[in-house]
Amino acid sequence: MPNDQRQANESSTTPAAIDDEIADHQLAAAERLQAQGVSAADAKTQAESKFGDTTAIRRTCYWIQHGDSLMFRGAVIALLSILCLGLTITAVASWQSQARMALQMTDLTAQLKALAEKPPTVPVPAQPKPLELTGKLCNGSPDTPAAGVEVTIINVKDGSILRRVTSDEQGRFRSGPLDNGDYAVAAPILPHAVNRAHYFQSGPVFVYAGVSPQPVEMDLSYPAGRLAIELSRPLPNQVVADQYTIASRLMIRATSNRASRERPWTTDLPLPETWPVCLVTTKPPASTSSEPLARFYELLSEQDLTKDWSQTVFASEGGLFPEGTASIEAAILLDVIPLKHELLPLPDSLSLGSGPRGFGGNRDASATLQEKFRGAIWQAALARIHVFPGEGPRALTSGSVVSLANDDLVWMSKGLGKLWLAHLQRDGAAPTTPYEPSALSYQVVQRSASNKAPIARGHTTRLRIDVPQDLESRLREYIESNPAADDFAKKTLGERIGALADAEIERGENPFIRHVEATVAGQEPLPEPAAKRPMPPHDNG
Amino acid sequence: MKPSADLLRGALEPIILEVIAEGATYGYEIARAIDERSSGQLLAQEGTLYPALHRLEKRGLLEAQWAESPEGRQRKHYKLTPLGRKERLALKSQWSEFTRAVNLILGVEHVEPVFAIV
Repeated sequence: MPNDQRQANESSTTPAAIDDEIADHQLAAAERLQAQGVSAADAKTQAESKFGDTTAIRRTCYWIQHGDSLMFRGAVIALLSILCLGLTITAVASWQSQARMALQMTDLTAQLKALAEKPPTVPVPAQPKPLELTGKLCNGSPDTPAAGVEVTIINVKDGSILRRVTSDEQGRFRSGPLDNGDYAVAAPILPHAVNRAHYFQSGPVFVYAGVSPQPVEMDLSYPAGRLAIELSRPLPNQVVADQYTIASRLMIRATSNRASRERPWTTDLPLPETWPVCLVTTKPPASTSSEPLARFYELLSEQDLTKDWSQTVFASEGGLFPEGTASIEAAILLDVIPLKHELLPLPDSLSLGSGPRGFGGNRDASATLQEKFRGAIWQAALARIHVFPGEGPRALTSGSVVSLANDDLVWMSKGLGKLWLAHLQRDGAAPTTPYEPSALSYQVVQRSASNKAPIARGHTTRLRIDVPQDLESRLREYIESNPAADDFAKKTLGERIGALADAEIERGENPFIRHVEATVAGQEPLPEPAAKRPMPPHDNG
Repeated sequence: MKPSADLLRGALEPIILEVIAEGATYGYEIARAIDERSSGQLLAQEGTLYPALHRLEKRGLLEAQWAESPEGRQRKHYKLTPLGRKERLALKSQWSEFTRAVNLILGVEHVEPVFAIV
């Protein structure tokens, strides 16, 4: 053995290393015997004898260290042998097969020769097959055909309707003869419309002579999921120094990436992210471009989140989101309400007319509001809410009845901080007349970067809103450090809300509004049937 | 009377772990330690030690390193790995229970196994 040291892992188990180890043992034993006075020859003999069968021990040690790899090598050799044998058999079989094929080729050549000698026959031209679009509709699964459904055939170049056909018992339909062109089909969402979306429109189908159009397969069940909200802590609501109450609301906007359209998609419009698209109507597009409808706003109080969840947009029929992704933007609004201030009551309900003048549908309500809330000012406030159709709380849309059982509208209209500002302006005296209201737009929740939440069919996605700990303390600090009305007014959210520096809110500098993060806390299957009223998870921890 | 090879086979590995834990590092030294501790009763042939040493090395209970001996030869030294230290304690406990049970059946007065005498 050379004097360089062995590396234990590399060479300590080679046959030479095992020999060296055994030799070292025997030499050491012999040296010890020699030291006791035994002659060198006898010492060597005795040491070897005491050691035992060197060859057998060497072999055993080598087998222990390398037996598994030797066995593996043996197995590989056996497998390779079997493989070679198999290949040989295959080659022989292939040779026999080729011989048979040669015989068949000879026969075929003879038959072709005979055909060539026959006089040619003139082929009869086939009738051109009419162009047609076909498809199959189902409701929830391919095993549940959507029978008897009216299918609208649309020319996607201009949105014009060609004809309407009905699906058979198997859910199949045929468009009937078509000219060359690009088409789509629209069929009603089953079992009923969701979020004002009444129809699905398929992706475009290209129907041209010589090309077999791809059959349209469409599931007419709305692929909906829900959102539920939980808070990291309750929304702030506390009385401070017997002077004022700090109250708060959660304002939240959720926008689906799956756009619903007012009118059918046509080829001059940008491609949607997914097919089919939802439609309000199959009528041809108007001159104005349609906007996505799958967007919801809500202004939620602590009570909404804990007791009246079923009355919120997210739990109502309108809260069904199409599967995909929802962009979530949320903010916590805070207000300071003097203790002596009395919120004026609102009527139980009112109907909003169309147009900026408002109150068209309910003169009584209009009169009541004008009387109680200085009429024109409140009208203006409501009108400002009204110019964002479909974006208000619940359903502040043209002609719809709005429930005002809670004070959402008050929150929408008072301008955060304005009550306390009025209190300061009156030098602490109780206000004798209502302050001038101004509408708060839902645009305040808009952010440059929104949180994303996945929406899965038949599932509720739980959103967790992180309520910052310093909301109340920062507001109190602002109140205490700005006792003069003019100073306090600087960050009050009033008429200037539309022009309010986004950056000021984005940076979290305004004490009355704070953008908050919404993270996905989990996703659970909706209870059967299709649960319209999921209870919101609420976490006070 | 020396024990039969069958009896020795099960006991040798815990014995080796024990004497290595006590400081013996290479084959002959380990054999000497066992011989002295057992009054020459255990190892009739010292070579039987090596298969056991290699088994323990293969199982990761021992790690080996070569170094030059005072006589100028290359010598393979063993030491316990963390797994070997753990296994040594486990084997001691198992052996104690095992011998106690066997002794009860055989009607032999219980004595601590030789490697357990410190």
